[in-house]
Amino acid sequence: MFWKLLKKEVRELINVGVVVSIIVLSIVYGSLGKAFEGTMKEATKRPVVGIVNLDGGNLSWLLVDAVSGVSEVVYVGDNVEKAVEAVKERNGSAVLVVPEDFSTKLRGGTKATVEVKWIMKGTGLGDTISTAVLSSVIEGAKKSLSAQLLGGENAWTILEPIEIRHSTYIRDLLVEGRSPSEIQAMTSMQNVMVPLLIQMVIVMTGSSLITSLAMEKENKTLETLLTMPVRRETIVASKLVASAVTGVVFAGIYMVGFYTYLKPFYKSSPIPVLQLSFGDYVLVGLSLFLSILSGLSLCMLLGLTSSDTKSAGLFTLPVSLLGLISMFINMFKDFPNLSLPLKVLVFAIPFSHPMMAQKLLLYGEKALVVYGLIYMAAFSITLMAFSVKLFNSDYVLLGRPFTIGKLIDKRS
Amino acid sequence: MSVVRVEDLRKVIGKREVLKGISFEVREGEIFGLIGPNGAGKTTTLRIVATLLKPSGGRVEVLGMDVEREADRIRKFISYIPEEAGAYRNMSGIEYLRFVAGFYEEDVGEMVKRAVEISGLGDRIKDKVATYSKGMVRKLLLARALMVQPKLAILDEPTSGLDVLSAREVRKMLKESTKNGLTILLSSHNMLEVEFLCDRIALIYDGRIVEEGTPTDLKERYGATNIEEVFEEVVKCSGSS
Repeated sequence: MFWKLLKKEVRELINVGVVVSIIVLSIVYGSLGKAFEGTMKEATKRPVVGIVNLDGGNLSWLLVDAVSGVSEVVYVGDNVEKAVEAVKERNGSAVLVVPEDFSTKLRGGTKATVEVKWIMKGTGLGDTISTAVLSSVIEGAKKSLSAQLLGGENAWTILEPIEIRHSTYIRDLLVEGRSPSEIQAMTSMQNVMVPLLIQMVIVMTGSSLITSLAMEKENKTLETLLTMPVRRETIVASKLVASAVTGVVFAGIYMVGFYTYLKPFYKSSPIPVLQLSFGDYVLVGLSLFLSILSGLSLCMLLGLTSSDTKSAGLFTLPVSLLGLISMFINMFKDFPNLSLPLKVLVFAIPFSHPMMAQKLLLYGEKALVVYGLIYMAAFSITLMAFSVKLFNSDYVLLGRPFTIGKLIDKRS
Repeated sequence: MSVVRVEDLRKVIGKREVLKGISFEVREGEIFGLIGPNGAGKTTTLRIVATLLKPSGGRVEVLGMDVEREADRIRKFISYIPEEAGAYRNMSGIEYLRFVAGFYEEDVGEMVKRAVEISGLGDRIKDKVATYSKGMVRKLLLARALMVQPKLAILDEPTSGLDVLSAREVRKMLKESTKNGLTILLSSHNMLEVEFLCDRIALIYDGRIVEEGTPTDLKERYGATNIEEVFEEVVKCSGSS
């Protein structure tokens, strides 16, 4: 019976319109991500330049060598027009013009000038990237010239006398060779993606469940279903499982696109000490499962109060809001650093736990994760029992106010 | 043998006492009709017998089982059609019948075959429910209710919203079904329909049963030519009109 009901629920929830809209949204995000990735790749390419050397002295050639080492030089000569033409032909970035007095001025202790004739393809973000790359190339060339002017073995030491070696303590965890900003950059992907993924899964599964209940009421099928020889617990369980399955599938499709979209912005190499063990991942997975269950239990109660699919949309709002509160707090501050009232609030929202589980496990706060699991299990069981009780009561049909006393009473 | 036994049934919804102590009995193989105006308590009574609502007081038994304590068992032997019922719109008629048949222990194929015959929907049974007219949905629901060969069919306004011809077909279908031992408890505010269909009727008014008997007995008792007149007289006599 459970499987029959499950099949019916899944079939109701997955229709062509919903699937197409989710896939299209995912493809749109994916395409945007690919476009950004292309732009980022552009940034790592060697810039195409032309060099007009009107000086011919040692130092000017040193500059030419320094630039040539990190760029693709398509012209070296003494004609500006020809240089510009050559660079434009190769879709390049700039022409460097080294003036006649370049070496003389530097040898004489005065600043020399290099004219950069930028060739902009447009004013878009992607169009200006290669100019930014060339700027850093010129900065590197400047240092080479400084070292040459200083002369001697210690020239580079004089230019860069201090090398900083970073080590960072995150609570009791020591991360060797990384600065806080590096760690933040490396963990930012999971700080954004994990809460987003959880939020997405909870909203998708929750709205599926509320819609399923609302559809039963709207299509006037609930009343007959409730008189068929099937236990209320089976009806509740089939709706929960069907919503969880469809919600997870939809969120998965959606997140593939969203991940592709965000990936170019958060490229980083993993930090070994910030990796979780297999056991930790099991706890994170369990935490995610229980938070979905908690969300669905909450949505089951909300769905029972909705009368049609139009009002059902509104009922996902409180669930989304709870998820958003958890998401933003978790993105800006770690749980152990919150004030007591915020800690209580975040802990009370079941969706917070999978968002913060990974970090808590890294910080060695396993007990907090386990308490979270116990809390979510208790939260889900209580709400599910309440839902079954409601399904067994007059409320599901009459939708009239009830008292706790009446629900506990054996009659109801 | 009584299939339904209702004793001093009371129901309070919110602050309103919808049923004020009604009692009646439905015997095996008969069609028993609850008639009365809107808001009299007919639907509430049917919902309680169908195990959907809990009584606030009194006792209701179906096939000797208590509706509160043995609701799950009772559901195996009853079929209920609410006044405003629907079928799953994304299923075809035949898929809906198969879905429902799966909840019962009998052979699914046999049940569905029976239902297709009862429904009279022909080839349209393969179409999506979303494309059905109200009358077609009603026929599908009746077929669904009767295919499981319940001991008791509880029908709230069985011909509600149907055109004259469809309503006649449904009435005929119900009459036929009782020949196979089916017991029917129905409600209607269509007095002529009840007079044609029911073996016995109970007139319900303001949460109370004000008269009960066979249509012929009642008409004789009140010197009326039809049940509508009986109802008018009964209401006058009870001082509520």
